[in-house]
Amino acid sequence: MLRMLPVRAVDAEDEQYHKHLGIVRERILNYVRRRLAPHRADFSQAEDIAQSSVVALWEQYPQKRELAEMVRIAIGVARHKIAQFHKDREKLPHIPDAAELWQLNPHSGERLVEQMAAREHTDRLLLALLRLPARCRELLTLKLIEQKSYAEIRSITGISGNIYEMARRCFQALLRNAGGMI
Amino acid sequence: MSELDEWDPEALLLDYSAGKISPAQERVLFAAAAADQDLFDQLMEAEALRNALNFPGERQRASAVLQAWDLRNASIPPPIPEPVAYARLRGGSQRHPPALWADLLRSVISTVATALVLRLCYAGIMVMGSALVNPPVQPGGASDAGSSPIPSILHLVHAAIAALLLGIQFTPFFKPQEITERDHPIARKCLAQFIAGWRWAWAAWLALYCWLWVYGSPGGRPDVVADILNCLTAFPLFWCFFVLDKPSVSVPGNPERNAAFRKAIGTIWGIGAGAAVLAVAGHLHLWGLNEFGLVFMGIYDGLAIAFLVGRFDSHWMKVPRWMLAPLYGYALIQMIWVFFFRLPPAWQVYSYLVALLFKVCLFLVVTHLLHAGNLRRYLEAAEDGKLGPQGEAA
Repeated sequence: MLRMLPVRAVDAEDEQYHKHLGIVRERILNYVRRRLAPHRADFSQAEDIAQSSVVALWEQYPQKRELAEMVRIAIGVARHKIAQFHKDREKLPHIPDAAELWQLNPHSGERLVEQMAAREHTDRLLLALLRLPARCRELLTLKLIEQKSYAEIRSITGISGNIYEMARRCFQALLRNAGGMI
Repeated sequence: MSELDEWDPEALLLDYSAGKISPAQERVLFAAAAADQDLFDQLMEAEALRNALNFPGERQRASAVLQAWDLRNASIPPPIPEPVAYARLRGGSQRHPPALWADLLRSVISTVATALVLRLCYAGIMVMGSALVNPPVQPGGASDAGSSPIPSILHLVHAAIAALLLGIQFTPFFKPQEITERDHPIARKCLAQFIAGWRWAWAAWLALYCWLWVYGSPGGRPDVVADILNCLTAFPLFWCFFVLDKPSVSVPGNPERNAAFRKAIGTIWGIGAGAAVLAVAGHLHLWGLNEFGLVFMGIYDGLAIAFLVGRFDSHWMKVPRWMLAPLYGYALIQMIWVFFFRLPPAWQVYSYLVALLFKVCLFLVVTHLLHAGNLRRYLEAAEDGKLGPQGEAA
Protein backbone atom coordinates (compact mmCIF):
# COMPACT_ATOMS: atom_id res chain seq x y z
CA MET A 1 0.00 0.00 0.00
CA LEU A 2 1.50 3.31 -1.01
CA ARG A 3 1.80 6.09 1.46
CA MET A 4 0.13 9.36 0.62
CA LEU A 5 1.65 12.79 0.91
CA PRO A 6 0.09 15.23 3.43
CA VAL A 7 -2.69 17.03 1.67
CA ARG A 8 -2.67 20.36 3.47
CA ALA A 9 0.15 22.86 3.03
CA VAL A 10 1.00 24.81 6.17
CA ASP A 11 2.43 28.01 4.71
CA ALA A 12 3.65 29.56 1.47
CA GLU A 13 6.96 27.70 1.66
CA ASP A 14 5.15 24.40 2.13
CA GLU A 15 2.84 25.25 -0.70
CA GLN A 16 5.83 25.87 -2.96
CA TYR A 17 7.40 22.58 -1.81
CA HIS A 18 4.27 20.62 -2.64
CA LYS A 19 4.12 22.30 -6.01
CA HIS A 20 7.69 21.13 -6.64
CA LEU A 21 6.79 17.61 -5.54
CA GLY A 22 3.91 17.67 -8.02
CA ILE A 23 6.22 18.75 -10.87
CA VAL A 24 8.75 16.04 -10.04
CA ARG A 25 6.00 13.44 -9.84
CA GLU A 26 4.62 14.46 -13.24
CA ARG A 27 8.05 14.24 -14.88
CA ILE A 28 8.73 10.80 -13.43
CA LEU A 29 5.25 9.56 -14.29
CA ASN A 30 5.52 10.66 -17.93
CA TYR A 31 8.96 9.11 -18.27
CA VAL A 32 7.94 5.81 -16.67
CA ARG A 33 4.79 5.58 -18.77
CA ARG A 34 6.86 5.97 -21.91
CA ARG A 35 9.40 3.41 -20.74
CA LEU A 36 6.87 0.84 -19.59
CA ALA A 37 4.53 1.13 -22.59
CA PRO A 38 6.43 -1.48 -24.66
CA HIS A 39 6.47 -3.87 -21.68
CA ARG A 40 2.66 -3.92 -21.63
CA ALA A 41 2.66 -2.74 -18.06
CA ASP A 42 -0.50 -0.93 -17.06
CA PHE A 43 -0.37 2.72 -16.09
CA SER A 44 -1.13 1.98 -12.45
CA GLN A 45 2.37 0.50 -12.19
CA ALA A 46 3.82 3.72 -13.56
CA GLU A 47 1.75 5.58 -10.98
CA ASP A 48 3.18 3.34 -8.26
CA ILE A 49 6.75 4.03 -9.31
CA ALA A 50 6.22 7.78 -9.57
CA GLN A 51 4.34 7.96 -6.28
CA SER A 52 6.82 5.86 -4.33
CA SER A 53 9.70 7.94 -5.73
CA VAL A 54 8.10 11.17 -4.55
CA VAL A 55 7.24 9.67 -1.17
CA ALA A 56 10.88 8.63 -0.76
CA LEU A 57 11.93 12.16 -1.65
CA TRP A 58 9.53 13.59 0.89
CA GLU A 59 10.43 11.15 3.68
CA GLN A 60 14.17 10.83 3.26
CA TYR A 61 15.17 14.25 1.93
CA PRO A 62 12.73 16.70 3.53
CA GLN A 63 15.40 19.39 3.77
CA LYS A 64 15.89 19.43 -0.02
CA ARG A 65 13.35 21.98 -1.24
CA GLU A 66 14.97 23.65 -4.23
CA LEU A 67 13.41 22.33 -7.43
CA ALA A 68 16.71 21.59 -9.21
CA GLU A 69 18.01 19.71 -6.19
CA MET A 70 14.77 17.74 -5.89
CA VAL A 71 14.96 16.74 -9.55
CA ARG A 72 18.56 15.56 -9.11
CA ILE A 73 17.65 13.30 -6.18
CA ALA A 74 14.39 12.13 -7.73
CA ILE A 75 16.18 10.90 -10.84
CA GLY A 76 18.38 8.62 -8.76
CA VAL A 77 15.44 7.34 -6.72
CA ALA A 78 13.25 6.74 -9.78
CA ARG A 79 16.03 4.85 -11.56
CA HIS A 80 16.31 2.55 -8.57
CA LYS A 81 12.54 1.99 -8.50
CA ILE A 82 12.41 1.24 -12.24
CA ALA A 83 15.28 -1.22 -11.96
CA GLN A 84 13.48 -2.89 -9.05
CA PHE A 85 10.28 -3.07 -11.10
CA HIS A 86 12.07 -4.83 -13.98
CA LYS A 87 13.78 -7.21 -11.58
CA ASP A 88 10.48 -8.13 -9.91
CA ARG A 89 8.72 -8.46 -13.25
CA GLU A 90 11.30 -10.68 -14.89
CA LYS A 91 11.49 -12.92 -11.81
CA LEU A 92 15.11 -13.87 -12.27
CA PRO A 93 15.74 -16.22 -9.34
CA HIS A 94 19.35 -17.01 -10.16
CA ILE A 95 20.63 -13.46 -10.16
CA PRO A 96 21.92 -12.80 -6.66
CA ASP A 97 21.17 -9.53 -4.94
CA ALA A 98 23.55 -7.43 -2.90
CA ALA A 99 22.71 -9.13 0.39
CA GLU A 100 23.48 -12.59 -0.99
CA LEU A 101 26.80 -11.47 -2.36
CA TRP A 102 27.59 -9.69 0.87
CA GLN A 103 27.10 -12.98 2.68
CA LEU A 104 29.52 -14.66 0.31
CA ASN A 105 32.07 -11.89 0.61
CA PRO A 106 31.25 -9.29 3.22
CA HIS A 107 33.98 -6.95 2.05
CA SER A 108 33.08 -6.57 -1.59
CA GLY A 109 29.60 -7.96 -2.16
CA GLU A 110 27.66 -4.73 -2.55
CA ARG A 111 30.40 -3.14 -4.59
CA LEU A 112 30.42 -6.18 -6.89
CA VAL A 113 26.77 -5.64 -7.83
CA GLU A 114 27.46 -1.99 -8.62
CA GLN A 115 30.49 -3.00 -10.64
CA MET A 116 28.44 -5.51 -12.65
CA ALA A 117 25.86 -2.85 -13.45
CA ALA A 118 28.54 -0.32 -14.38
CA ARG A 119 30.27 -2.82 -16.59
CA GLU A 120 27.04 -3.68 -18.36
CA HIS A 121 26.22 -0.03 -18.93
CA THR A 122 29.72 0.68 -20.22
CA ASP A 123 29.47 -2.22 -22.64
CA ARG A 124 26.16 -0.90 -23.94
CA LEU A 125 27.68 2.54 -24.28
CA LEU A 126 30.61 1.11 -26.26
CA LEU A 127 28.36 -0.85 -28.59
CA ALA A 128 26.19 2.21 -29.14
CA LEU A 129 29.29 4.35 -29.77
CA LEU A 130 30.74 1.92 -32.29
CA ARG A 131 27.53 2.00 -34.27
CA LEU A 132 27.70 5.77 -34.70
CA PRO A 133 29.20 7.50 -37.74
CA ALA A 134 32.93 8.14 -37.25
CA ARG A 135 32.56 11.89 -36.74
CA CYS A 136 29.98 11.48 -34.00
CA ARG A 137 31.99 8.71 -32.34
CA GLU A 138 35.08 10.89 -32.23
CA LEU A 139 33.16 13.81 -30.74
CA LEU A 140 31.44 11.75 -28.06
CA THR A 141 34.59 9.82 -27.19
CA LEU A 142 36.40 13.08 -26.57
CA LYS A 143 33.50 14.46 -24.56
CA LEU A 144 32.32 11.49 -22.52
CA ILE A 145 35.39 9.30 -22.16
CA GLU A 146 38.23 11.82 -22.26
CA GLN A 147 36.18 14.58 -20.61
CA LYS A 148 37.36 17.32 -22.94
CA SER A 149 35.68 20.72 -23.04
CA TYR A 150 33.87 21.88 -26.17
CA ALA A 151 36.70 24.32 -26.94
CA GLU A 152 39.28 21.51 -26.73
CA ILE A 153 37.17 19.27 -28.94
CA ARG A 154 36.84 22.05 -31.47
CA SER A 155 40.61 22.46 -31.66
CA ILE A 156 41.30 18.71 -31.84
CA THR A 157 38.68 17.82 -34.45
CA GLY A 158 38.58 21.09 -36.37
CA ILE A 159 34.77 21.15 -36.23
CA SER A 160 33.87 24.60 -37.45
CA GLY A 161 30.07 24.58 -37.28
CA ASN A 162 27.75 24.57 -34.32
CA ILE A 163 29.50 22.04 -32.13
CA TYR A 164 26.76 22.14 -29.47
CA GLU A 165 24.07 21.26 -31.96
CA MET A 166 26.19 18.50 -33.43
CA ALA A 167 26.97 17.13 -29.97
CA ARG A 168 23.29 17.19 -29.09
CA ARG A 169 22.32 15.24 -32.20
CA CYS A 170 25.12 12.74 -31.71
CA PHE A 171 24.20 12.20 -28.08
CA GLN A 172 20.54 11.61 -28.96
CA ALA A 173 21.65 9.07 -31.57
CA LEU A 174 23.83 7.41 -28.96
CA LEU A 175 20.92 7.07 -26.54
CA ARG A 176 18.75 5.69 -29.36
CA ASN A 177 21.44 3.17 -30.26
CA ALA A 178 21.73 2.15 -26.63
CA GLY A 179 17.97 1.46 -26.63
CA GLY A 180 17.48 2.93 -23.16
CA MET A 181 20.21 2.79 -20.59
CA ILE A 182 18.11 1.90 -17.59
CA MET B 1 27.99 30.70 -31.53
CA SER B 2 27.94 32.89 -28.42
CA GLU B 3 29.37 31.91 -25.05
CA LEU B 4 25.87 31.59 -23.68
CA ASP B 5 25.36 28.40 -25.62
CA GLU B 6 27.75 26.59 -23.33
CA TRP B 7 25.04 27.08 -20.73
CA ASP B 8 22.37 25.68 -22.94
CA PRO B 9 20.80 22.74 -21.05
CA GLU B 10 21.22 20.47 -24.08
CA ALA B 11 24.96 21.19 -24.13
CA LEU B 12 25.18 20.83 -20.37
CA LEU B 13 23.61 17.38 -20.63
CA LEU B 14 26.81 16.03 -22.19
CA ASP B 15 28.97 17.74 -19.59
CA TYR B 16 26.82 16.11 -16.94
CA SER B 17 27.07 12.67 -18.58
CA ALA B 18 30.83 13.10 -18.80
CA GLY B 19 30.94 13.85 -15.07
CA LYS B 20 32.48 17.24 -15.67
CA ILE B 21 30.02 19.90 -14.67
CA SER B 22 30.09 22.67 -12.10
CA PRO B 23 27.44 22.88 -9.34
CA ALA B 24 26.05 26.06 -10.92
CA GLN B 25 25.73 24.39 -14.32
CA GLU B 26 24.15 21.36 -12.69
CA ARG B 27 21.49 23.55 -11.09
CA VAL B 28 20.71 25.12 -14.47
CA LEU B 29 20.43 21.68 -16.06
CA PHE B 30 18.11 20.17 -13.43
CA ALA B 31 15.93 23.29 -13.26
CA ALA B 32 15.54 23.09 -17.05
CA ALA B 33 14.72 19.38 -16.80
CA ALA B 34 11.93 20.19 -14.35
CA ALA B 35 10.29 22.27 -17.07
CA ASP B 36 11.12 20.11 -20.10
CA GLN B 37 9.94 16.49 -20.27
CA ASP B 38 12.27 15.54 -23.16
CA LEU B 39 15.29 16.86 -21.31
CA PHE B 40 14.19 15.07 -18.16
CA ASP B 41 13.88 11.79 -20.10
CA GLN B 42 17.38 12.19 -21.55
CA LEU B 43 18.71 13.04 -18.13
CA MET B 44 17.26 9.80 -16.76
CA GLU B 45 19.12 7.87 -19.46
CA ALA B 46 22.31 9.91 -19.07
CA GLU B 47 22.37 9.22 -15.34
CA ALA B 48 23.10 5.53 -15.96
CA LEU B 49 25.85 6.48 -18.35
CA ARG B 50 27.40 8.88 -15.89
CA ASN B 51 27.31 6.36 -13.05
CA ALA B 52 28.93 3.70 -15.21
CA LEU B 53 31.75 5.92 -16.43
CA ASN B 54 32.43 7.28 -12.96
CA PHE B 55 32.91 3.77 -11.61
CA PRO B 56 36.63 3.18 -10.96
CA GLY B 57 38.32 1.66 -13.99
CA GLU B 58 35.34 1.83 -16.36
CA ARG B 59 36.39 5.02 -18.13
CA GLN B 60 39.88 3.59 -18.68
CA ARG B 61 38.42 0.33 -19.94
CA ALA B 62 36.13 2.15 -22.38
CA SER B 63 39.03 4.25 -23.61
CA ALA B 64 41.20 1.15 -24.13
CA VAL B 65 38.44 -0.62 -26.08
CA LEU B 66 37.90 2.37 -28.35
CA GLN B 67 41.64 2.77 -28.97
CA ALA B 68 41.96 -0.91 -29.80
CA TRP B 69 39.04 -0.59 -32.18
CA ASP B 70 40.62 2.39 -33.94
CA LEU B 71 43.98 0.61 -34.16
CA ARG B 72 42.41 -2.49 -35.64
CA ASN B 73 40.55 -0.45 -38.23
CA ALA B 74 43.69 1.56 -39.02
CA SER B 75 45.61 -1.64 -39.77
CA ILE B 76 43.06 -2.55 -42.43
CA PRO B 77 43.74 -0.51 -45.57
CA PRO B 78 40.78 1.68 -46.47
CA PRO B 79 38.85 0.51 -49.50
CA ILE B 80 39.55 2.38 -52.69
CA PRO B 81 36.48 4.53 -53.19
CA GLU B 82 34.54 3.78 -56.30
CA PRO B 83 34.03 6.69 -58.64
CA VAL B 84 30.91 8.54 -57.64
CA ALA B 85 28.42 9.23 -60.37
CA TYR B 86 27.83 12.86 -59.45
CA ALA B 87 27.64 15.30 -62.30
CA ARG B 88 30.72 17.49 -62.46
CA LEU B 89 30.11 21.13 -63.12
CA ARG B 90 33.50 22.31 -64.25
CA GLY B 91 37.25 21.84 -64.21
CA GLY B 92 39.44 18.78 -63.97
CA SER B 93 39.09 17.94 -67.61
CA GLN B 94 41.71 15.37 -68.49
CA ARG B 95 39.94 14.26 -71.63
CA HIS B 96 42.08 13.36 -74.58
CA PRO B 97 40.87 13.04 -78.17
CA PRO B 98 40.96 9.20 -78.11
CA ALA B 99 38.43 9.18 -75.26
CA LEU B 100 35.97 11.10 -77.41
CA TRP B 101 36.29 8.52 -80.18
CA ALA B 102 35.87 5.74 -77.66
CA ASP B 103 32.65 7.37 -76.40
CA LEU B 104 31.30 7.70 -79.93
CA LEU B 105 32.22 4.13 -80.75
CA ARG B 106 30.54 2.95 -77.56
CA SER B 107 27.38 4.76 -78.60
CA VAL B 108 27.39 3.16 -82.05
CA ILE B 109 27.99 -0.29 -80.60
CA SER B 110 25.12 0.25 -78.15
CA THR B 111 22.78 1.18 -81.02
CA VAL B 112 23.67 -1.87 -83.08
CA ALA B 113 23.60 -4.23 -80.08
CA THR B 114 20.21 -2.88 -78.93
CA ALA B 115 18.69 -3.28 -82.37
CA LEU B 116 19.98 -6.84 -82.69
CA VAL B 117 19.03 -7.97 -79.20
CA LEU B 118 15.53 -6.50 -79.40
CA ARG B 119 15.03 -8.11 -82.83
CA LEU B 120 16.06 -11.46 -81.39
CA CYS B 121 13.76 -10.99 -78.39
CA TYR B 122 10.89 -10.13 -80.70
CA ALA B 123 11.59 -13.21 -82.77
CA GLY B 124 11.69 -15.37 -79.64
CA ILE B 125 8.44 -13.98 -78.31
CA MET B 126 6.84 -14.35 -81.75
CA VAL B 127 7.84 -18.00 -81.91
CA MET B 128 6.48 -18.72 -78.47
CA GLY B 129 3.46 -16.44 -78.72
CA SER B 130 2.23 -17.31 -82.22
CA ALA B 131 1.95 -20.94 -81.18
CA LEU B 132 -0.37 -19.87 -78.38
CA VAL B 133 -2.59 -17.34 -80.17
CA ASN B 134 -6.10 -18.69 -80.71
CA PRO B 135 -6.97 -19.09 -84.39
CA PRO B 136 -8.89 -16.14 -85.82
CA VAL B 137 -12.60 -16.42 -86.46
CA GLN B 138 -13.40 -17.71 -89.90
CA PRO B 139 -15.95 -15.65 -91.87
CA GLY B 140 -19.25 -17.42 -91.77
CA GLY B 141 -17.98 -19.85 -89.18
CA ALA B 142 -19.19 -20.41 -85.65
CA SER B 143 -19.16 -17.38 -83.44
CA ASP B 144 -15.96 -17.05 -81.43
CA ALA B 145 -16.97 -14.01 -79.47
CA GLY B 146 -16.81 -15.90 -76.22
CA SER B 147 -13.19 -16.94 -76.45
CA SER B 148 -10.19 -15.01 -75.17
CA PRO B 149 -7.12 -14.58 -77.38
CA ILE B 150 -4.98 -15.64 -74.40
CA PRO B 151 -5.32 -19.41 -74.05
CA SER B 152 -6.15 -20.63 -70.59
CA ILE B 153 -2.97 -22.71 -70.55
CA LEU B 154 -1.00 -19.46 -70.42
CA HIS B 155 -2.94 -18.36 -67.33
CA LEU B 156 -2.22 -21.76 -65.84
CA VAL B 157 1.51 -21.43 -66.59
CA HIS B 158 1.48 -17.96 -65.04
CA ALA B 159 -0.30 -19.29 -61.93
CA ALA B 160 2.06 -22.26 -61.68
CA ILE B 161 5.12 -20.01 -61.83
CA ALA B 162 3.61 -17.69 -59.20
CA ALA B 163 2.89 -20.71 -56.99
CA LEU B 164 6.43 -22.01 -57.46
CA LEU B 165 8.03 -18.66 -56.64
CA LEU B 166 5.76 -18.20 -53.64
CA GLY B 167 6.49 -21.73 -52.42
CA ILE B 168 10.25 -21.20 -52.70
CA GLN B 169 9.97 -18.41 -50.16
CA PHE B 170 8.89 -20.92 -47.53
CA THR B 171 11.79 -23.31 -48.18
CA PRO B 172 15.44 -23.13 -47.05
CA PHE B 173 16.47 -22.21 -50.62
CA PHE B 174 17.51 -18.57 -51.03
CA LYS B 175 16.74 -17.94 -47.39
CA PRO B 176 16.90 -14.24 -46.44
CA GLN B 177 19.88 -13.17 -44.33
CA GLU B 178 18.77 -12.59 -40.77
CA ILE B 179 19.34 -9.51 -38.66
CA THR B 180 20.31 -10.01 -35.03
CA GLU B 181 17.85 -8.80 -32.41
CA ARG B 182 20.61 -7.53 -30.16
CA ASP B 183 22.38 -5.27 -32.67
CA HIS B 184 19.54 -4.06 -34.86
CA PRO B 185 16.13 -4.76 -33.34
CA ILE B 186 14.37 -2.19 -35.52
CA ALA B 187 15.93 -3.41 -38.75
CA ARG B 188 14.99 -6.97 -37.84
CA LYS B 189 11.32 -6.05 -37.51
CA CYS B 190 11.46 -4.02 -40.73
CA LEU B 191 12.82 -7.02 -42.57
CA ALA B 192 9.99 -9.19 -41.23
CA GLN B 193 7.46 -6.58 -42.37
CA PHE B 194 9.01 -6.45 -45.82
CA ILE B 195 9.00 -10.23 -46.22
CA ALA B 196 5.37 -10.41 -45.10
CA GLY B 197 4.36 -7.81 -47.70
CA TRP B 198 6.38 -9.52 -50.40
CA ARG B 199 4.75 -12.90 -49.75
CA TRP B 200 1.34 -11.29 -49.68
CA ALA B 201 2.00 -9.81 -53.14
CA TRP B 202 2.83 -13.25 -54.55
CA ALA B 203 -0.16 -14.85 -52.89
CA ALA B 204 -2.37 -12.18 -54.50
CA TRP B 205 -0.76 -12.77 -57.90
CA LEU B 206 -1.33 -16.48 -57.51
CA ALA B 207 -5.00 -15.87 -56.71
CA LEU B 208 -5.34 -13.51 -59.68
CA TYR B 209 -3.92 -15.94 -62.24
CA CYS B 210 -5.81 -18.88 -60.79
CA TRP B 211 -8.97 -16.84 -61.16
CA LEU B 212 -8.13 -15.92 -64.76
CA TRP B 213 -7.38 -19.54 -65.52
CA VAL B 214 -10.60 -20.86 -64.06
CA TYR B 215 -12.99 -18.01 -64.86
CA GLY B 216 -11.28 -16.10 -67.69
CA SER B 217 -13.99 -13.78 -68.96
CA PRO B 218 -15.18 -13.82 -72.55
CA GLY B 219 -13.37 -11.57 -74.95
CA GLY B 220 -10.32 -11.40 -72.75
CA ARG B 221 -11.72 -8.48 -70.74
CA PRO B 222 -10.78 -8.35 -67.10
CA ASP B 223 -13.81 -9.01 -64.96
CA VAL B 224 -14.78 -7.43 -61.66
CA VAL B 225 -13.08 -10.06 -59.48
CA ALA B 226 -9.89 -9.80 -61.55
CA ASP B 227 -9.99 -6.02 -61.08
CA ILE B 228 -10.15 -6.39 -57.32
CA LEU B 229 -7.47 -9.10 -57.21
CA ASN B 230 -5.24 -6.98 -59.38
CA CYS B 231 -5.65 -4.14 -56.94
CA LEU B 232 -4.79 -6.47 -54.05
CA THR B 233 -1.45 -7.26 -55.69
CA ALA B 234 -0.49 -3.59 -55.73
CA PHE B 235 -1.19 -2.80 -52.08
CA PRO B 236 1.47 -5.13 -50.59
CA LEU B 237 4.02 -3.63 -52.97
CA PHE B 238 3.16 -0.20 -51.59
CA TRP B 239 3.50 -1.77 -48.12
CA CYS B 240 7.03 -2.95 -48.96
CA PHE B 241 7.87 0.50 -50.28
CA PHE B 242 6.70 2.25 -47.12
CA VAL B 243 8.60 -0.24 -44.91
CA LEU B 244 11.76 0.90 -46.70
CA ASP B 245 10.75 4.54 -46.81
CA LYS B 246 9.36 5.39 -43.38
CA PRO B 247 9.98 4.42 -39.75
CA SER B 248 7.61 1.46 -39.61
CA VAL B 249 8.50 0.05 -36.18
CA SER B 250 7.70 1.57 -32.80
CA VAL B 251 10.45 1.45 -30.20
CA PRO B 252 10.59 1.52 -26.41
CA GLY B 253 10.26 5.11 -25.38
CA ASN B 254 8.67 6.15 -28.66
CA PRO B 255 5.56 4.09 -29.38
CA GLU B 256 4.47 6.70 -31.96
CA ARG B 257 7.60 6.29 -34.06
CA ASN B 258 5.65 4.47 -36.78
CA ALA B 259 2.81 7.01 -36.90
CA ALA B 260 3.77 8.28 -40.37
CA PHE B 261 3.94 4.70 -41.66
CA ARG B 262 0.48 3.87 -40.33
CA LYS B 263 -0.95 7.04 -41.87
CA ALA B 264 0.64 6.28 -45.23
CA ILE B 265 -0.62 2.69 -45.22
CA GLY B 266 -4.15 3.77 -44.31
CA THR B 267 -4.15 6.39 -47.03
CA ILE B 268 -2.76 4.15 -49.74
CA TRP B 269 -5.24 1.42 -48.84
CA GLY B 270 -8.04 3.97 -49.18
CA ILE B 271 -6.73 5.15 -52.54
CA GLY B 272 -6.50 1.56 -53.75
CA ALA B 273 -10.03 0.82 -52.65
CA GLY B 274 -11.23 4.00 -54.41
CA ALA B 275 -9.42 3.03 -57.61
CA ALA B 276 -10.95 -0.46 -57.42
CA VAL B 277 -14.45 0.98 -56.94
CA LEU B 278 -13.98 3.20 -60.01
CA ALA B 279 -12.62 0.25 -62.00
CA VAL B 280 -15.59 -1.93 -61.07
CA ALA B 281 -18.03 0.92 -61.81
CA GLY B 282 -16.37 1.47 -65.18
CA HIS B 283 -16.49 -2.21 -65.94
CA LEU B 284 -20.21 -2.34 -65.13
CA HIS B 285 -20.86 1.01 -66.84
CA LEU B 286 -22.19 2.60 -63.67
CA TRP B 287 -22.20 6.33 -62.79
CA GLY B 288 -21.74 7.23 -66.44
CA LEU B 289 -18.33 5.54 -66.48
CA ASN B 290 -16.97 3.19 -69.11
CA GLU B 291 -13.82 1.06 -69.29
CA PHE B 292 -11.77 4.20 -68.94
CA GLY B 293 -12.42 3.89 -65.20
CA LEU B 294 -9.95 1.01 -65.28
CA VAL B 295 -7.11 3.38 -66.06
CA PHE B 296 -6.96 4.55 -62.45
CA MET B 297 -6.34 1.05 -61.25
CA GLY B 298 -3.65 0.59 -63.88
CA ILE B 299 -1.93 3.71 -62.61
CA TYR B 300 -2.25 2.48 -59.03
CA ASP B 301 -0.70 -0.88 -59.93
CA GLY B 302 2.07 0.67 -61.99
CA LEU B 303 2.96 3.22 -59.34
CA ALA B 304 3.21 0.50 -56.69
CA ILE B 305 5.95 -1.23 -58.65
CA ALA B 306 7.60 2.03 -59.71
CA PHE B 307 7.82 3.28 -56.11
CA LEU B 308 9.27 0.00 -54.88
CA VAL B 309 11.75 -0.27 -57.73
CA GLY B 310 12.71 3.35 -57.06
CA ARG B 311 13.87 2.27 -53.61
CA PHE B 312 16.01 -0.45 -55.17
CA ASP B 313 17.79 2.37 -56.96
CA SER B 314 19.65 3.13 -53.71
CA HIS B 315 23.38 2.47 -53.92
CA TRP B 316 23.12 0.64 -50.59
CA MET B 317 21.07 -2.01 -52.39
CA LYS B 318 23.70 -2.48 -55.07
CA VAL B 319 21.22 -3.65 -57.67
CA PRO B 320 22.92 -3.60 -61.08
CA ARG B 321 21.61 -0.54 -62.90
CA TRP B 322 20.68 -2.48 -66.01
CA MET B 323 18.53 -4.77 -63.89
CA LEU B 324 16.30 -1.83 -63.03
CA ALA B 325 15.22 -1.45 -66.67
CA PRO B 326 12.94 -4.54 -66.80
CA LEU B 327 11.53 -3.63 -63.40
CA TYR B 328 10.52 -0.16 -64.52
CA GLY B 329 9.29 -1.78 -67.73
CA TYR B 330 7.07 -4.01 -65.63
CA ALA B 331 5.63 -0.92 -63.96
CA LEU B 332 4.76 0.46 -67.40
CA ILE B 333 3.13 -2.80 -68.48
CA GLN B 334 1.01 -2.75 -65.32
CA MET B 335 -0.36 0.61 -66.37
CA ILE B 336 -1.58 -0.66 -69.74
CA TRP B 337 -2.67 -4.10 -68.54
CA VAL B 338 -6.25 -2.94 -68.10
CA PHE B 339 -6.42 -2.09 -71.80
CA PHE B 340 -5.10 -5.41 -73.03
CA PHE B 341 -8.47 -6.36 -74.43
CA ARG B 342 -8.16 -3.44 -76.88
CA LEU B 343 -4.93 -4.81 -78.35
CA PRO B 344 -4.79 -7.20 -81.32
CA PRO B 345 -4.92 -10.84 -80.11
CA ALA B 346 -1.30 -11.60 -80.97
CA TRP B 347 -0.09 -8.50 -79.14
CA GLN B 348 -2.02 -9.51 -76.06
CA VAL B 349 -0.18 -12.83 -75.94
CA TYR B 350 3.21 -11.21 -76.55
CA SER B 351 2.64 -8.60 -73.83
CA TYR B 352 1.45 -11.30 -71.46
CA LEU B 353 4.66 -13.25 -72.00
CA VAL B 354 6.81 -10.16 -71.49
CA ALA B 355 4.94 -9.37 -68.29
CA LEU B 356 5.64 -12.88 -67.04
CA LEU B 357 9.31 -12.43 -67.83
CA PHE B 358 9.48 -9.10 -65.99
CA LYS B 359 7.65 -10.56 -63.01
CA VAL B 360 10.28 -13.28 -62.74
CA CYS B 361 12.96 -10.57 -62.98
CA LEU B 362 11.33 -8.75 -60.07
CA PHE B 363 11.33 -11.95 -58.05
CA LEU B 364 15.00 -12.60 -58.82
CA VAL B 365 16.05 -9.10 -57.83
CA VAL B 366 14.17 -9.12 -54.52
CA THR B 367 15.31 -12.67 -53.72
CA HIS B 368 18.89 -11.62 -54.42
CA LEU B 369 18.53 -8.57 -52.15
CA LEU B 370 17.21 -10.77 -49.35
CA HIS B 371 19.55 -13.70 -49.82
CA ALA B 372 22.79 -11.78 -50.48
CA GLY B 373 22.14 -9.46 -47.53
CA ASN B 374 21.90 -6.20 -49.50
CA LEU B 375 18.52 -5.45 -47.97
CA ARG B 376 19.86 -6.37 -44.54
CA ARG B 377 22.71 -3.88 -44.94
CA TYR B 378 20.30 -1.21 -46.15
CA LEU B 379 17.99 -1.65 -43.16
CA GLU B 380 20.88 -1.76 -40.69
CA ALA B 381 22.32 1.41 -42.20
CA ALA B 382 18.90 3.04 -41.91
CA GLU B 383 18.69 2.10 -38.23
CA ASP B 384 22.22 3.43 -37.66
CA GLY B 385 21.23 6.75 -39.19
CA LYS B 386 23.67 6.43 -42.08
CA LEU B 387 21.10 7.10 -44.79
CA GLY B 388 20.47 10.70 -43.76
CA PRO B 389 21.62 13.60 -45.91
CA GLN B 390 24.65 14.34 -43.71
CA GLY B 391 25.62 10.80 -42.79
CA GLU B 392 25.71 11.72 -39.13
CA ALA B 393 23.28 11.17 -36.30
CA ALA B 394 19.96 11.07 -38.11
